[in-house]
Amino acid sequence: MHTFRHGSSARWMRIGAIALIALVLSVAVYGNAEAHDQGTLKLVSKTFRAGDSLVVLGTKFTPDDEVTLLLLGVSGRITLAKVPTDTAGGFRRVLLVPASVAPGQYRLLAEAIDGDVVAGLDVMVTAAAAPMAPMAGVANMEGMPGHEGMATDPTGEALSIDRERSTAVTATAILLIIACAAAGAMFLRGSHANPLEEQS
Amino acid sequence: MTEARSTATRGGAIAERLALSALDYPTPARANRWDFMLGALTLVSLVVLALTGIVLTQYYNPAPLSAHDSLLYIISNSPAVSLLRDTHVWAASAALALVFAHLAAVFWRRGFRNPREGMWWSGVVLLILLFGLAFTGTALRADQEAVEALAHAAAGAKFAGAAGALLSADFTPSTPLLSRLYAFHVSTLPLALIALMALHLWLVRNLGVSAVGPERVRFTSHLRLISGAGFVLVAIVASAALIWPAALSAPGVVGFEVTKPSWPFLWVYAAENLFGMAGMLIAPAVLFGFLALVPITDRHDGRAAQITRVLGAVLFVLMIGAIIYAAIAPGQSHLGMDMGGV
Ligand code: HEM
Repeated sequence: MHTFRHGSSARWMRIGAIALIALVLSVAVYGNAEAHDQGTLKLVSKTFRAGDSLVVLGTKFTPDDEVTLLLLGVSGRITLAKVPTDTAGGFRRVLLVPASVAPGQYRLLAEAIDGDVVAGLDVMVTAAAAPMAPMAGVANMEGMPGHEGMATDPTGEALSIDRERSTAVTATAILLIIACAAAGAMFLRGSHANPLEEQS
Repeated sequence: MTEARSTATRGGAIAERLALSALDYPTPARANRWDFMLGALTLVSLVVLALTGIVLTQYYNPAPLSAHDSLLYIISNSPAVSLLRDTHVWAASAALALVFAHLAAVFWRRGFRNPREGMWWSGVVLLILLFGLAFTGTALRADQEAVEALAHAAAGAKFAGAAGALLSADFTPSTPLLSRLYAFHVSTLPLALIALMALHLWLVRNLGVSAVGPERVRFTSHLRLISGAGFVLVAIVASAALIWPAALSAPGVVGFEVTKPSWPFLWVYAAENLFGMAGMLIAPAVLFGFLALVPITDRHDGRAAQITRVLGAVLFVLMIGAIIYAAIAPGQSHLGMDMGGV
């Protein structure tokens, strides 16, 4: 430990200095990449059908600039529109989602002119002319509790969901709990009954 | 050697082939007391978390728009998985409560002193990882609390600059934030936890615990006690899950602050009430900064050691007080968001 400190402290200081410079440079590069204002995208609903029109609201973008709105997902990259921002950095635009877009998860992205992503939102595209399927991909969920009045007022209140109960599952759980408690008691009692042995 | 063989013969052929006699080493008798079992009980909770979590991965959908639905599906359609989810949530609470109890017990008995500094520091990193797991787990629910937790993290990440980029929704356009947090929750953080735990337990095994006294017992007797307490713990956690199922609120709406975080994060919430957004960084910085310094400031008996001990006790009481205060104080907005009429 002693030799280590004396013998190589200068080397460690050099390595430290280089690491520090590298860190400062990488932060600078990162900072440079952040030259655009990060905006916010808002949609009335994040689930929409292919072929539907879509109202997109943008705020907090670089004022008097232009952003490209696009969808990125299973259908690849689909450019929707180039939209100018106003003097406050906002915009409101009605877009048409091509009917050819395959259903699935997408990112709705806003890109600045140089291709930097300045905003993004997860959206779901459902099949064209199909009924709205907010629960696409999960079978057997029609009329599932918890979906009534969804996306109204935000609340942290626990949903009162009709929990599916099964006598078999509950009984098995209770049996397992009793077995665990009994095993625990047995081990604990055993170690009392068998006073600590001395190692030779 | 003769003794090892006799023990193996006692345990039978399987015990011999599994070299179980290696567990028969001597440990201090004092280590058989409850305050030396808290680390192992934390480990038991983590095993429950891992087992229930593995099942949950088959039912949970980490795509942002399907996550909440998959949880609704589990709760309303699948009683067995739902019960495992409840157990997962209760085991997480147990793990955090036990790890704090373990930390407090080790701090009080000064179990971090030479040569056990590495045990303490690896423990501090384990604590950070556990908080990371609790945070990402909360976010996976995709309900209102989850959305707000993410908004807080994103705001904190902005403060942290480049280091916080991972918590930004725009880190990469190819994968949504929720899916990346899922990867952290089920892969990155558990792997890091296992690696750190291996180091922690290696040190426990090879440096021994700080229990004093000349009396020695076989480690197997300690194992027996831990197994007993572990089974009782599992029974308690599973009973709690059966009686009080884990809640889920409505799908999160971005831009509102109407919830409070779960109890392990309430002390941070209290700090935000007092110091605004900065509290979110100040409180963890104070806690982890203090924990990191403990083995340095409390090396030998003396003034510095006394101050460390008093400071630790004050911090502990403050934390419990802050959790209780935040639990009963009215909800506050910290990010300047809408309070939804609250
Ligand atoms: C995942 C979480 C953790 C697990 C599974 C764990 C496990 C253990 C186990 C099994 C022991 C042996 C004896 C005992 O339980 O007291 C131990 C000892 C120890 N742990 Fe942990 N631990 C964890 C977190 C922590 C934390 C957060 C700290 C402190 C910041 C810590 C510091 C220590 C120290 C210093 C010892 C030695 C204590 C002594 O010899 O007196 N551990 N740990």
